[in-house]
Amino acid sequence: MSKHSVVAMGLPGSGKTTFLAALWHLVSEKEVPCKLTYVSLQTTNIEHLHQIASQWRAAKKQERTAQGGDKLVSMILKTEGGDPQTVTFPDIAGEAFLQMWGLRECDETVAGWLKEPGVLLFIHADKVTAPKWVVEEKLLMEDMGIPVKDEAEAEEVVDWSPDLAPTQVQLVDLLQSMQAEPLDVGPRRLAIILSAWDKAAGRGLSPEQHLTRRMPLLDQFLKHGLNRDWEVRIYGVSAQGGDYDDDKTKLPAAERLREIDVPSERISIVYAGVESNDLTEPLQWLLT
Amino acid sequence: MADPEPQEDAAPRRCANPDCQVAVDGRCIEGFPGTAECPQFGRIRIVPVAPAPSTYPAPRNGLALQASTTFSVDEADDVVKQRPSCVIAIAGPQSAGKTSLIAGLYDLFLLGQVGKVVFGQSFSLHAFEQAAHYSRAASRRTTPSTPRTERGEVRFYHLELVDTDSGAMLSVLLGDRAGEEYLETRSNPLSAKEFPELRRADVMTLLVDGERLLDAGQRHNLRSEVRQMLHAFVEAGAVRPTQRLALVLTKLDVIRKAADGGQRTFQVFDTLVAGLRTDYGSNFGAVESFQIAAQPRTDGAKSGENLDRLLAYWMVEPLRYRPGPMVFEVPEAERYFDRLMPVPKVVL
Repeated sequence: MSKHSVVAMGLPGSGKTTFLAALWHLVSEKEVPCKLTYVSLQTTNIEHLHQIASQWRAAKKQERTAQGGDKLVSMILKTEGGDPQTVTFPDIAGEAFLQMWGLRECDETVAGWLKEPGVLLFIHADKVTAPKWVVEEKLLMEDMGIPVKDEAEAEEVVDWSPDLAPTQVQLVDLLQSMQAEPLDVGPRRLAIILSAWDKAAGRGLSPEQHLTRRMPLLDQFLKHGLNRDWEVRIYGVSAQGGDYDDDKTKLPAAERLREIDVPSERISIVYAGVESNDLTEPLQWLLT
Repeated sequence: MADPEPQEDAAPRRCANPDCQVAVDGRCIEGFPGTAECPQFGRIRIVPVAPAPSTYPAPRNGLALQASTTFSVDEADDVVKQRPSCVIAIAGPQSAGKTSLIAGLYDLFLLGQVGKVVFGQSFSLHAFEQAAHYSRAASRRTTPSTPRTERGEVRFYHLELVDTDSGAMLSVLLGDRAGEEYLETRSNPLSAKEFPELRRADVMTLLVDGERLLDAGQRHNLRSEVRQMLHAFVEAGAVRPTQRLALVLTKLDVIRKAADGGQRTFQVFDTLVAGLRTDYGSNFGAVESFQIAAQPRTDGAKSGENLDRLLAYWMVEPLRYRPGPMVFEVPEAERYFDRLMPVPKVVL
């Protein structure tokens, strides 16, 4: 049996754990046809998988992965007619990636996981922090007749800190780090997962177009700055299917999702103009 | 981190230079006879900024990743030796808009390609973000600003850019030094010899502060400063014929808001450019002029207006890459035989 690893990267709240929960439900329940199927319950951290999949089935938001509570989960999967493969998938807290951007360092354990040749990069399609400029806001307020405070009356100036940087800048830096020492391992496959795709799909753009429109610097980097021996695919993924309940609130949307008889049908993945429920597709591509 | 560059407003009148207490003791640290002659006095206000607190947890067995800051001279030299590159010296008095130019160009790449040039990589992302911060809404300022560049060694902002016409990737190194140090070359021209970015520059970019050129009280001094600075660079031997010169009028948005739409200022700039071209043009491989609004404060210009033209000029293949005739020198030697062995002339 061969062993393969895929590493999932993404800033906090980018959908890594939800993807893993939906993936585990999909391969373990076999409700819809998938490119990869699961073979054995001999998995690492199966309790974690059961817990997050249970939250997912109940249409409840996942608890955020705490830094230091990173979970290494593995599943034994196989393609139709293929040999079983152990697929390892570290569930790393997004703060670890903030630390890479902000502090210019990477936890040694996380660094070990980041040396895998298959990379899933999660980006929440609807929570991209874009840069906004003082002068634009000022002119907009003037146009609307809202008085603009002068500097002396304004709120206290906020000093720079790395987490104020636009999402696309942080992601470009993460990918640059992945192709430089000490994380460089040569050619890789990169599957970009635009999560919460149901929130963005209404704009009528493909995942590639959405990325180009919302994150032009990242788009330029992927086309011109990424090492040429890297391969990239961009997926739009809705692993939840809609909004889920949190601890305090019950949402009608979550109720509607619970009403769907086959939970796997909540899942939607879009690639190259084709939509399906098969979340294993990017994994299969990364593993081949 | 450096303090934000001061901005014009109606605050109590004092000097932008935090070391100058002219408003208190009447003594100008730069030696100007009166506050009317000082380009820094009166129109600006200092906003002190404390170092940014870290919002990140303490390191845990961390492996160091590549830094994301500006390059030292040695680091920039390594880039120049290793790959096709162009070094851009951005010179001008303080507040001319040097850091705004750097931040404004970076901001344009956040929105897409700039003219025919696309972003590839940058190992200075933290530094660019810091330079751009006080023009961003996240700073909660109500007027855009840029950090003051502090005195000291020149630092280089790094970009890997691709010319979509040729497909060539070029490392672009943007030199940033405190404006005061450039201004001081007028009194001590030989100090320009110690500025490595000038000798190494493929494009020497000299900024002319549009706001000061608009002001009749400051116009003549500004022209004199620019001319004398360029003269000092030439006199110090910091200029080579393989360099191109860009003469850049900044703050186009402010100029256009003038009663005459800036006509007079544009004429003054054109006259200045013509004079500099006549007197110093032969020292450069080419001379071009530009009018830009890197980070406008008003609706008088688009953000980054004309930076695409300036960037295209920067991205032209550096003249040092073009093969030319080798110049040999006859060594000064006592023995006639030794003088028969001419050596190639090294131009630094």
